[in-house]
Amino acid sequence: MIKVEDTFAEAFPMKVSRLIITAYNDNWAFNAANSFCGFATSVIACGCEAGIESKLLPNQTPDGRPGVSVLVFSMSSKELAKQILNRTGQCLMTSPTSAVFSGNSGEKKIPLGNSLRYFGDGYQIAKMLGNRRFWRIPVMDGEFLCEDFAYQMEGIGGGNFLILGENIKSVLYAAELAVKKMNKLENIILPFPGGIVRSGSKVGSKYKGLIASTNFDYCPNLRTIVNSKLNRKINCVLEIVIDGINKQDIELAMKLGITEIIKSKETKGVERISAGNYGGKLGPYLFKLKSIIT
Amino acid sequence: MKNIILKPKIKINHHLDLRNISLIDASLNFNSIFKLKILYGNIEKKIGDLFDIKVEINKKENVKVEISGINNNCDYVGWKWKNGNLKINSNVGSFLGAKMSGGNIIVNGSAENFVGSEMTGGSININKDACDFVGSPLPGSKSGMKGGDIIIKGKARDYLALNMRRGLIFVNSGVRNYCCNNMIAGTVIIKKDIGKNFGVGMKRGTILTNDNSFSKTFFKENGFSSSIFYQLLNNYIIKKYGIKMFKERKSTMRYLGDKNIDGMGEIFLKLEN
Repeated sequence: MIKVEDTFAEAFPMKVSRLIITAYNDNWAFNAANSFCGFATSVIACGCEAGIESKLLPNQTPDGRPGVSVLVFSMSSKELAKQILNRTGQCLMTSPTSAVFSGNSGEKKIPLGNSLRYFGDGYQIAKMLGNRRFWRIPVMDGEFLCEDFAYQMEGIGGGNFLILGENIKSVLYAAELAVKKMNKLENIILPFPGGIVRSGSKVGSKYKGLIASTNFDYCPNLRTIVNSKLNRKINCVLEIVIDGINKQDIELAMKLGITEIIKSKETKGVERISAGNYGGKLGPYLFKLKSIIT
Repeated sequence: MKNIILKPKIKINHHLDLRNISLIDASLNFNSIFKLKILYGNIEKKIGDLFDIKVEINKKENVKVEISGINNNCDYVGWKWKNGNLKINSNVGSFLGAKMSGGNIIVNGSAENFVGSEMTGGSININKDACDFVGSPLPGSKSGMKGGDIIIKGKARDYLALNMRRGLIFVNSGVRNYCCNNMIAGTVIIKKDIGKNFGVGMKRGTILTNDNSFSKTFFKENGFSSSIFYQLLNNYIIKKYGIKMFKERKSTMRYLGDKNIDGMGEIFLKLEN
C-alpha cells in the first residue's frame, strides 16, 4: 500500500503564454516545438519553463496544418518576452516549413513577428486577417509566417509531488506511469526531461550567490548526516513538477498522476508520495495532497 | 439588447440618405429612433415618417437593425457603422458601410457604388452584386479601405480596391476594369474575370485570382509558390464565411509588380491542372 503523506506542494505565480506551432507535417511541427522547448526546464537558470502542451490536428490550427501547442512560463513579463522572442527567432524561424501563432488572447502583448520581421530586410509583408496581424518573412524554403504578437496570461509554476521508493527501477516506472497520464491534460506542462526531475532543490545555499541547491532532506546518500526525511528503505526519490494556467488544472494533473501510481499493481517498491514545500513561505498556492486525491 | 426592424411605409422614389440609422444603439428607445432625422430628396424628415419601426428586446449582446423593402435609392446605409449587426433584406444604394469601423452588415440583395469605402473594420457581406469603387476612397479622398472584410457573393464592377491600404475583399464572381489600381496593401480575391488594366500602380498587397489575363508588362513571373499565408487565408475564409477560395488541387504561380514602379505587390494565379 502506497502511503500519501499529509503534506502540501507549494507553488507560485508565473507569467505564461501559449504558442501554436504548425508545420508541413506532425514530425516537423514536433521538431520545431522540441527545439523551442529545449533548455527550458527551470527558471533557476533557463529563464523560462516550457513544454509541449498538446498535439493539434489540422482543423485546430489557424493555417489548417498539423501543429502543437506550447506553453512558456517565466517569472516576469520582461523575461517571458525575451525568451519567447529569442526562442522563436532561433528555433522556430530556423525550422523548415514552420509557422507560429498566438494561442491565447490577453491585454499584455509579447512581440513576436513585430520584432522578427526585420529579418526580412525590407521584403517582409504584413497581412491583417480580422483583428490579427501576421508577418510573412522570406526565408530559403519560402516564407516564415508569424503572428504579430503573443499574449501574456497569469499562470502558476511549481506544482509538484515526490515519489519515494526502494529503488530507481520502481520509482522511475511509477513516475513514467504518472507522466503518461498527466501529459494527456491541457493547460499544464511538465517542464523537466520526460516530465521527471531527480535534482529537487531548496531555496538558497551555503555558497554565496547560489539561489538554489540540492534538497538534501530527500537525498538518500545524505540521510545519516542531515535531518533526512527518508528512512532506510527509501533509496530513490523522483519529483514531477507541474506548471499550469490555473490551480484547478494543476490539481487535476496531480490527482491523476498520484492516483495512477496508487492504482497500478506494478508499482511495487514505491513506498510514499510526498510533495515539496518551503513551509508556505515561497508561494501563495498550496496543493494539499490528501484533499487533492479524495 | 435590442432588435430594431425598419420597413418603409411608402415606395422610395427619391434619393434617401439613411446615414443616421448608424446612430441607433442600445440606449435609444422607440421615440428616440422615431425622431432620428433622414434626408428624403432634399427634405428633412423623421425616420418614423417614412418607416414602420418595431423594437424587440432580445438576449443577445449587440444591437441588431433589420431593414426590409428599401431599394437602390437608399444611400449611406451603415455609414460609420461601429458595432452590432445590420441586415438589409433588399437592394441598397451607394456608400454602404462607408467609413465603418466594426460590426457586421449583411445585404440580401445588391449594392450600388462605394461599398465599404474607407472602412477600417468590421465586415460587409453582400449576397448578390456590387457596382463600382468597392473598398475605394470616397470622392475627394486618396486612401481606400484600411481594414475589415468585404465579401461579395456575386460580381463587382470597375475600380474595386482602388488605393486600398488594408483589409480583405472577396469577389466570388468577376470584376470589370481598373481593379486593384494603386493598391498600397491588403488582400483581394477574385475568383473569375479581372477585366482590363488590372493591378496597375500596385505597390504592395496580395491578389489571388484564377484569371491569367492581367498584363505581363506590369507583373513579372516569380515561379511556383506554396505560400503558408495562402493556407491561412483559405482557412480564415472557410471558418468565418463558409466560402472556399479555390479548388484544392490547383497549383499557384506568383507574380510580382507593378514592376514599372518597382512595386512589391503579388498576384497568386491559380492554375488549371
